[in-house]
Amino acid sequence: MSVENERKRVLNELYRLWGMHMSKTHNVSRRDLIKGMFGLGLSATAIGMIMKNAPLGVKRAWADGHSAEDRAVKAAKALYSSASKKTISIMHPSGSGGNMAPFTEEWKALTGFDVELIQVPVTETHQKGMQEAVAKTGRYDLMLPAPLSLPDYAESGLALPLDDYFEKHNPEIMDGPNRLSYPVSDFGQKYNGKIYGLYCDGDWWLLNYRADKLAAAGDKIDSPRSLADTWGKYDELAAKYTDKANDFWGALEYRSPFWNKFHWMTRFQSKGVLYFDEDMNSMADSPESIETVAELVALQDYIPIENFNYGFTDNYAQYYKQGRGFMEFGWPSLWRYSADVAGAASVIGERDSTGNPTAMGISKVPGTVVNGELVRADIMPFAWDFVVSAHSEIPEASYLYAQWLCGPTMSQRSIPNEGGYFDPWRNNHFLEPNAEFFSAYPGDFLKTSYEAVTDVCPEIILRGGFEYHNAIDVNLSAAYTGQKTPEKAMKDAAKECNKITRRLGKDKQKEAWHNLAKMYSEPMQKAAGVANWS
Amino acid sequence: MPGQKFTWYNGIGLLLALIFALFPVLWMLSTSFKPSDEWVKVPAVWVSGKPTIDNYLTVLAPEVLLEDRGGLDQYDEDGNLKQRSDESSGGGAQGAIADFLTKSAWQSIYGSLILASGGTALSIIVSLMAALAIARYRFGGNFTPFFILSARMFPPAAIAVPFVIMFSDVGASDTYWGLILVYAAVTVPFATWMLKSFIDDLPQEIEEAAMMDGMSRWKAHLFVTIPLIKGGLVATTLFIFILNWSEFLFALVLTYNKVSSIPVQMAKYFSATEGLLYGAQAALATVSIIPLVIIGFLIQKHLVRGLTLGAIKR
Repeated sequence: MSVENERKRVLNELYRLWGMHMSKTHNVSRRDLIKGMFGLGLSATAIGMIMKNAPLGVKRAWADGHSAEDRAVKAAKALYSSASKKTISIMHPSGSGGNMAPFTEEWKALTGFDVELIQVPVTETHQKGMQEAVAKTGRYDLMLPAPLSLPDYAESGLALPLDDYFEKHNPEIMDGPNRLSYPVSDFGQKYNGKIYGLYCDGDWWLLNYRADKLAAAGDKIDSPRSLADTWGKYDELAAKYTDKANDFWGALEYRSPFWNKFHWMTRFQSKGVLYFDEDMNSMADSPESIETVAELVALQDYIPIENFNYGFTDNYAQYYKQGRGFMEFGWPSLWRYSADVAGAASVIGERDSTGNPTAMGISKVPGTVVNGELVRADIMPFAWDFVVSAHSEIPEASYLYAQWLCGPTMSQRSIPNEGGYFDPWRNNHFLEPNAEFFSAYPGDFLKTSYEAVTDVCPEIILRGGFEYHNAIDVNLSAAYTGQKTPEKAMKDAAKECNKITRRLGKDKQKEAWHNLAKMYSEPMQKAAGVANWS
Repeated sequence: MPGQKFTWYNGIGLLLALIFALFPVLWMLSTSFKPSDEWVKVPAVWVSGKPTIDNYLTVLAPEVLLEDRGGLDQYDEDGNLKQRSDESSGGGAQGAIADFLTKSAWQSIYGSLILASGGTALSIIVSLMAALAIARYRFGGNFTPFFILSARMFPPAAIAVPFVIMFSDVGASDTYWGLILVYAAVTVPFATWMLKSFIDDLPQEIEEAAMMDGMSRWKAHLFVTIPLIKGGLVATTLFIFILNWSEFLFALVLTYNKVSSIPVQMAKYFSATEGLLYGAQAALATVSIIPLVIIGFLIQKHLVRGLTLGAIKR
């Protein structure tokens, strides 16, 4: 075929392709139709790609704004008139309303969308979500579960992936000066590579201690913002400062069911071993884990007997804030309320003329030297994420509310509210707190917490996470109360964890575990050899 | 045995049984007057040396507590929380409107009254007719009573989610009538069996005599059977009312914001500083037993008769 003929054939084909609807006979063959559809598809894709990168692309034209909050407000306002539902319904755990309720009117005035807060008992949040996953009623637009719920919510199709919204509206969480630092940014919001949660509450542990007692005894901290670099030193301090005759205890650790596993998680993983190995076998029965439990049992001589019943708030209220303990691991609110003489009736919250606490000190968690490097595994139990329901009629507007409330500026207003329990998490909370914010978290807390964020590690954020936790929890309790030896307890825990894995599907769990393990801090990954996992 | 003496060890046995039965109630009452630092204190505080009514205010009149803590004035015009005036003395945290202070428990108390009354009334009406049909007319044959009871042979959790789906489809979620239907449905088996046993103990000849005197079947049941099993009917009604009054699972899964009940409200008492508010929970529990005590007192004559009905065989 000559070049001229070929040119004619191509032109003819093009004419048939684009001009079939203009043909005089109006006859369209099946082939023409398929070609036409193909052409239309190609055209639409090309236009989309061009518009995506265009400076004034349709998408960005209204998604622009000078801040995360501004972008959220503008976008929500644009959505309001066409929204099929004008109220954003939020399922939230009891006790957290104070972080949201004061701002609902403001959001309504800015965007038109009303907000309905549906409070559920804090212990029932996960179950209520899973109930919605099955029922698919669309009653909740937003939910506020802990990151531990993300895998179950995601796998059940309840949680909507937020990657597109993050891309479109930029909540300034994954990058920029106000971001949430790695690794929390990833394991606190992602599951199997996708973003399912918009983070709103920082909950990694720090070690609170009595700085006045330390100074009085002439002791010094090990290194900047670290009372004890190693667990060995921590145990020594616990023994040294225990004064049973005066009901003063060296270590106010939790030994009650549900709470006790967090101590194991942070101490055990600092030894360079994670919850599971490369092949998803539980490491609860590893020598490091058994050694950890033995250490925790030995420490019980410096822990008040009541802590076999007390949870966080009881422990804090009965002991730490009443000046009856030297050290206590805890969430940011432990520092905050201990420093709150008026609101929380703390007897250790005295402050100097600059507003800094004088009796309390704050420290990163201790660690273990692994291969010559100090590894700290700072556990983050709980925290809260906004999750957009996949069954919501107004998913984007709901997401935008969460972006607005959790924006760098708005979060500095909502977090310090006493009637809730959100705590600092964004970099600007730590580095550029406003006066109100700093007043709630005075002294060296924010700087210490900021330094500690790189050491933070997750709970078992996998499908069936609550079951794994329970298996470990029950067996740890048995070891703490002497019903089982540490070895027997942890072998049983490992057995139960492996059983859960098999029931949920080992291959799928393994894939999710590898994804989670790759979201650990670099030192922890290195110590556990995650890079070599295939 | 007739004429047997009441001995001192009978008395001790009864006293122990009484303590065993009343201890939880007394502990609840005591906790409801304790300040937060005595809720879980070791050794236990049996009776508070510094009793407070704050727990009752939290439950019934939180606005009074809110006013004590600065009231709504602590918010500025923009909804921001104002700084505490006593900051220099260590007032670190800002504001103080916890969830439990924004809303009293009255909505859930009313809710429980409506739900328990409605559910009980519906359940008793349906069960009474079912019991009459089974006891007097052998409706459905011998297997029917067991078939009805089989509805309670699986855990309520197994049917909770299907209920959520159905209720969502028909718009019954978060409504009183929806939950009343559920309460009636899950208590009908108990009520039917109880009422059937009371009717079984009543000689059928009495009704037949009434019909021979000119009464219709309906009238004979209404004016003869029911008055004669009044004690049993009252006992059954109270039993079903208590079941509905204390029901938690369905109230939790089938309600959102509009409808609430006491057990669900109780589970919501939680704060960041104090964890579960045992004092408020105890106060609400104490308030919630008042209607049951009053009803029990008013109907005690019938109740005793009802509980012993059928104890002596003809």
